[in-house]
Amino acid sequence: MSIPIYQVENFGFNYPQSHYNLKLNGKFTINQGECILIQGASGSGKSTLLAALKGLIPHLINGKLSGKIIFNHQDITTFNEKQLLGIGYLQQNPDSQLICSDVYSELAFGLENQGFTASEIESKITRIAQDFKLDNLLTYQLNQLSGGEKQKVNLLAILLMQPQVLLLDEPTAFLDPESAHEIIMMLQQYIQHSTVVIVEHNHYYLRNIISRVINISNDGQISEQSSEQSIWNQTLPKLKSAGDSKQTKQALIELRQLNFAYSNNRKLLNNLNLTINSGEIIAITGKNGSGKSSLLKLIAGIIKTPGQIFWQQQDIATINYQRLWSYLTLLWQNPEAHFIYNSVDEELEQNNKILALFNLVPQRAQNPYSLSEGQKRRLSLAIALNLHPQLILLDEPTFGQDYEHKLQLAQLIMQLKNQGMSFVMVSHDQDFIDAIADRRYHLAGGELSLC
Amino acid sequence: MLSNKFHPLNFIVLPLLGIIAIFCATHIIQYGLIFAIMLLNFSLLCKKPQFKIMLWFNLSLIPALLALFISSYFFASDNELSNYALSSQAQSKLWFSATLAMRLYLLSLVSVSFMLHLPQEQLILDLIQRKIVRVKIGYSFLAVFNAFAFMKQEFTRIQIAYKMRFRKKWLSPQILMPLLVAAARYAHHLSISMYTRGINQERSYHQPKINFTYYDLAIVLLNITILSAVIFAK
Repeated sequence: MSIPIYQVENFGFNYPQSHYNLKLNGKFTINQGECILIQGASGSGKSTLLAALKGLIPHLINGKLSGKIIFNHQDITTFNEKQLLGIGYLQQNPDSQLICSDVYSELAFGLENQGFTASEIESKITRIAQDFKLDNLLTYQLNQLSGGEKQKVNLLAILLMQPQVLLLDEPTAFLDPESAHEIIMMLQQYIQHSTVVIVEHNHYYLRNIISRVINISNDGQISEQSSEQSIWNQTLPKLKSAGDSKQTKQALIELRQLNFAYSNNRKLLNNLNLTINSGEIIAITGKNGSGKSSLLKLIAGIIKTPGQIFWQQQDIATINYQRLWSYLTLLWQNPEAHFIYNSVDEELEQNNKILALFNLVPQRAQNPYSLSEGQKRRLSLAIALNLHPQLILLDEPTFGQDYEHKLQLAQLIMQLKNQGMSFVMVSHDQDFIDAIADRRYHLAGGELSLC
Repeated sequence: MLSNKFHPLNFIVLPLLGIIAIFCATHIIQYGLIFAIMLLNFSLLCKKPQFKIMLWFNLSLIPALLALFISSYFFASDNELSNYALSSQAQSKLWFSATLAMRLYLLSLVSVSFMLHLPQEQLILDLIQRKIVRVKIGYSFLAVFNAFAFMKQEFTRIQIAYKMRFRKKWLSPQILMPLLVAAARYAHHLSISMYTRGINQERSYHQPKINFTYYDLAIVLLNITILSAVIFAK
């Protein structure tokens, strides 16, 4: 017999001093031992719902809560902070959750708050680290770890508190596919003992562990899908370019035996050769720390390497930076890094053509920071396009984007490609790469190989 | 190792005594003796001195010291020079300028060298364990040390985005806005992380409390005695 842990009905939330009202219509139940995926468009309220399930509203996040969230047959708002420790909560950014400077202290932090003695803490940490085969990390400083390892430490720190329910808010968003897979393997090992609720866009990793899917539509309707349904097969269609593929293409950027190492460090890039032509989309994949972002910085001329990178046969080290950056530009994974004005209109210098092209006319008076994730990404691309570059370098363009927004972004990039613009993107998103990339390279051990 | 026997609070107490002594001292020989005592303290407390940074710091002080020396040499008033009853005015000026420059140098050197090597984490944890600092405030400080690397990375990205967009080498204060937003988000996530792991005042600690020992008492008393002797000796 299934024992209900959560019962949610017509959940709504108003952030203080904000016009944004979240209202989810419908109800759902989460039973003991289930692993639930909450799915929906970016900005549909999944993360807010998860925060409410943890009881962060109203204890930590102020605002007006409406509807009902029943946890263990009792209204969640009536629980105190100590009672809520039975609900574990993992966020997406591995860095911003870390409190201490070394792995052992980080793992001990939650147990110390529960009042365990030093010897109890030691035995608990040793046991769980051995169970998850992470005992080799215990002596490390946190700044020595990769993003994936940090997220494993965060997860372990929560599991050590033996929560009845585990809530995960996009736990693999910042990770490369290998690390994401390892996190899911850890979850799979743990899942036999607990109830898990996951919010995740990269849900193809989760196929084997999900028992039920709860869907939140754009208009706030909650519905249930069985895990057998088609969501696992939801892939972006392969977009075809409109131009003639036999047409002669001009080489824009050439990497000629590019070697690069940061000072006092191992060689990051080793003898890379690559030509980027006009009207081409090139994708580069690779693990976190393999040198992908450094490669983008090198191509953008931010890090100088004389005699190794050429823009239309001219060494970029000899090109004036104003001229070089009129040819190419770079977009970071966090679109907010590009916003400095108070309205969308100002960001795009009242360029109506670009506003219309990126479907941002209704938002023209809005503050860029108040846009949805999809709109922010479109705005950052529009800002780049407003500079009229011939080549755009994209760092994780689909970060935080749902299926619909990814599709819109892919169509937009393809449209620009058909007008002759080139793109080099660094991404972990295989689906997005398959949909639009002309060529795909994998960067590993400092070497670039064509896939 | 002897440095392990001292409490980390000595990194604050001893330079503080040194600074009080520098303010009380008036003669260049007194400054020399205070320098020697502080150097001895530093070598007793510090496990791994950062010689390179200290060298750069000393070099960077040279222009300021020279400026102070020259200005005090040429613009010292007779009233100020009256304390230096030397044979010639030039000699008095020289002593006065050298004393002022030495005072500035010692103040900067003592403050920076001890603060640079301060075991912040150990000290904050000790203050939390002794309930001198509240748990929430203490751990927030510890988390801020971790945040530096993240914020530095974020700032570099924002700088690059700005430079490429406006094709300028210099930066505008406008770039502080995305940095502030990033910092606010980081702080929000961190507070959620602390809350969800049940941070509270009545907690236990896996690391043992660092107790004050006779070594600490001895070094503080010895410093007070010697520094007093240096200042009040005729």
